[in-house]
Amino acid sequence: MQNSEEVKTVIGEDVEIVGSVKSASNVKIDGKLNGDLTCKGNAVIGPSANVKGNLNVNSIEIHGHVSGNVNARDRIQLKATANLNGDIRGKRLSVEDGVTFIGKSEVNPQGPSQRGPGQEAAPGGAEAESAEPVVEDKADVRRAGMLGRK
Amino acid sequence: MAKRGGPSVIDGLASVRAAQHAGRGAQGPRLRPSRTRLPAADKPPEAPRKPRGSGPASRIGHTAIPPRNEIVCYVCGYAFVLQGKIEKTYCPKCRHMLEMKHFVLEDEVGGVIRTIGTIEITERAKIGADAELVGGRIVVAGDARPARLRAGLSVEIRPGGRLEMERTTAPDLIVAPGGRFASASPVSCRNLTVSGEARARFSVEGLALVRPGGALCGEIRGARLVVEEGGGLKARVSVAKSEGANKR
Repeated sequence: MQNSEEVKTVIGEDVEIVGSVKSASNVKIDGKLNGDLTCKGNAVIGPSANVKGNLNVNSIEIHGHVSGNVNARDRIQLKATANLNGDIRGKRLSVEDGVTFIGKSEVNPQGPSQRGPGQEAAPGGAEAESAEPVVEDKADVRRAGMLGRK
Repeated sequence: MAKRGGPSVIDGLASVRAAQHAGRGAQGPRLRPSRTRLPAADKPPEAPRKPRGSGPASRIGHTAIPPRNEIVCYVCGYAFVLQGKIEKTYCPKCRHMLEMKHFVLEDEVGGVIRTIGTIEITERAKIGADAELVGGRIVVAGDARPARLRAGLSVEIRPGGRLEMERTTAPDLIVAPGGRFASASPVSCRNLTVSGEARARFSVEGLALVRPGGALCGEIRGARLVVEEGGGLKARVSVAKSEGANKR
């Protein structure tokens, strides 16, 4: 989030919220949140924050710990101290070196698909097939060997 | 002033000295240099010079830094760094003579090519089945499927590049802008850089980097992941600092 953008709601380090949070403006979380966050504006998850729940935001910048799915309409930024355990879906993504991220990512600069994160495609569907690596014409690779030296 | 008994010749230096002598102690009017300098008749007056060091430097000095060459011995695999221009060098470990040549393959190629430099396979190259290409960096922009490729540093796949992973050995994999890489089987490498399109199940020991315009699909497991703004990532991701990160 840009510094010029105003953060109207700040959840401090010593605050713990159990339940869902909805906001129409920007939100910054430095404390604990056990529940979902729905935000029409941008969200910042501070380094000391611990969020267990799904995040639905416009843009998000994660420095802290998140266990849940992240669904952003625009941008997702995972900073170096971020620890994300969940799926992400967004339009733009930037990941810094040092991030811990375990989950599925569906980030395409052309725009996200209509499915939410964590929702699997129907078995045998077109996207399920394309999720598996396929052999392309221009890089015809039949069997992959060990590229690197152990 | 001419010396007594010497040749009666007055040169320029003597005349100046005589004038200085007359100005210092001799009788007559003291000669002083004019404080105001008259401008030359044919030249416009010059702007006053700034004192040295007051303005920006008019000349920027450059320090010539010799090129840094990362070298991997193709005999023993020992990696070392040398600076400067190199044509030949010895491996410090096995003492084998290594040649630094850059090859651009455009015609029919067969046999063995060994270098610690770069081998570039162009679109026009026709690689024979007996070809073995051993180089520091291998750039694939053509059909290299029949060849056995062994790179000490990296293999780069450019648009139109085709290779057989079964016959390829390289620590780093680079997918250049416009290049496409796909594999149905897992791929392990040290570092991965994607500026084009890569679709496989990757296991990366070092850094997986997705550049702007690049797209990584499939699966990525490793220690470090960087996605620059504009890069696409549609994959199962397991990136953790510790090795014990469980796959979701």
